[in-house]
Amino acid sequence: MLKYLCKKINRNILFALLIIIFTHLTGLYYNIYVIFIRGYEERMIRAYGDCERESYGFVKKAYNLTQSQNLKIINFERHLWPNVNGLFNIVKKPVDENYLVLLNLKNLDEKIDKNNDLIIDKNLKLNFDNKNIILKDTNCYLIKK
Amino acid sequence: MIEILQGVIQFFILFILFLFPITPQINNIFLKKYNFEIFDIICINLVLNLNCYLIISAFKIDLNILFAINFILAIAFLFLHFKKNIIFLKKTEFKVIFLFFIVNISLFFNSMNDLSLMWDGLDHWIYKASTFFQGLGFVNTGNTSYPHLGGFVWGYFWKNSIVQKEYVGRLTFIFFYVSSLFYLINLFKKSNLDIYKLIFVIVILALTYDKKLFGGYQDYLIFSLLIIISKLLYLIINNDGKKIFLETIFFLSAYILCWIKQEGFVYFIITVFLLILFEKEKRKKILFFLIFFTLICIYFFLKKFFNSELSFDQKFNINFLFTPDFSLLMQILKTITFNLIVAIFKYPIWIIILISIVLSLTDKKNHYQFRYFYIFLIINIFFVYSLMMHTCLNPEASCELVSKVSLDRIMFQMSGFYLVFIIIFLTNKKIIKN
Repeated sequence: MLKYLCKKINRNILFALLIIIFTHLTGLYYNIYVIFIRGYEERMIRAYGDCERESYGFVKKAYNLTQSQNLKIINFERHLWPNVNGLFNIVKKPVDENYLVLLNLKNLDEKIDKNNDLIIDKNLKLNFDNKNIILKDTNCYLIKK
Repeated sequence: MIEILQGVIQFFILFILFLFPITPQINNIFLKKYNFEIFDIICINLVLNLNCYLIISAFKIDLNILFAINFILAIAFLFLHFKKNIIFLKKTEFKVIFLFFIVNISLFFNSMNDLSLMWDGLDHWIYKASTFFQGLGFVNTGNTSYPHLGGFVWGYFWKNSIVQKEYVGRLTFIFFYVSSLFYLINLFKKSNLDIYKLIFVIVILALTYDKKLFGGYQDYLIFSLLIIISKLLYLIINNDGKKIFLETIFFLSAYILCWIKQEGFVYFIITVFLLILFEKEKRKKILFFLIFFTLICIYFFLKKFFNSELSFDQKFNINFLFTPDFSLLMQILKTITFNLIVAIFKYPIWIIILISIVLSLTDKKNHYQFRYFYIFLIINIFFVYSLMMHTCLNPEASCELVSKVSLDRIMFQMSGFYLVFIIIFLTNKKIIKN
């Protein structure tokens, strides 16, 4: 009987240890804590950046500010970071032609001409006068076209 | 707090949903001879539900109403024979179910903490999920060669969540993955100690878990389905007698692969080919071939209906066949082989698979039992090289980049098929203690 009990307890201890090690290694307790103290938006910004990488934080602000359903986004580091528009449920919604979001646009001063114009391609020329810049954060711009 | 609740509740929702339509009681009445356990039932239901989702995705239906009907039916069927269902659940040791819960919850919270989607997830797959979330039904989101079923599952559970965030949809992929790993448990002999089975599951999990692949990729769905298919193939090939139900589920799970990713179509052909090859009865071989042919026809018909195409990311460079460049060919082969080796080390489960295969080859007793694994491996290596050659011969594609970013995921998907092989090999060798 004692032998049986010892064996049973040993197995249960082994199982409990297995659970503790597993949950610790997968960071369960830490993850619960983080989800508890950091809201969804904060975690999203940590995942995609505010005004860096995919710049989720800036794009979110742009959507809130313009109340637009589908903003056109140009990421100047497109080869490195994909477009975050998919997170804003834009399928089948018309692109808002009034605004443009520019991300990771570094060294703007060197790129614009004396009229404050930036030529993105032959069909797109943007004016960076203060009146056209609706929102600016480091290298991110929300421009009224 | 609500998000933590969502994580826990989502587990129970998925657990209840995937105990339907084959509830434990239905299993007891109609499928008793197969000796199914709880995880067999869950995985069979996964396959059945995925097939239903495929049909539903063709229509523009209110997903909230659909979910309500689905959930009410699942609950009703469970409560209809509540006592008998509970008795069945109790047959599985509490520790196993508890570990199943803990593993799911741990991985759920891991994904909920780091919400980042990877490149393909953010660039392609989320749009497919978003169309269903927005209630638009199937919409051509531009990438016509990518099937939409994974997106439907993602969008369906995203839409039917408390917090209405996209990550809830992705938790379903985690549930599929963990369920398929636990589905392997009853391959162990009854005499094997439960604790060793559990340790084995944890080890396999540690070797195959890659958080990034839950970032919107569909590879875990293929991986999980290949585990299910591999076990079904093993049961069908190595058991005599009537196995109509197993064969039906086999075809359904193989077919659903086509609707997850383009590679799935190739896996569908290979796995059905293996089934036909190892079937002893001639009449059945013909029947299987006819089913296969019918499914292929349905597949192309649905592809046309969904206005999508069957193609890989790059177009084949036909000019190469007329003016072959052998130095380029050697360069490509070198790149593919190098990245193949990198992929093996990236997913160390491959090291165990390869060691097991080599060891099993030295033991003549095993050859017969493992034949279909060997053939699958040979065909798959051929498939990987062909696919990569097809891509690399395209002058517009960067062979180095494509091999680097896609070969590891293809190798990872395939590894699911061999997990059954590893268990049978280990238990045959008595490496796992009785």
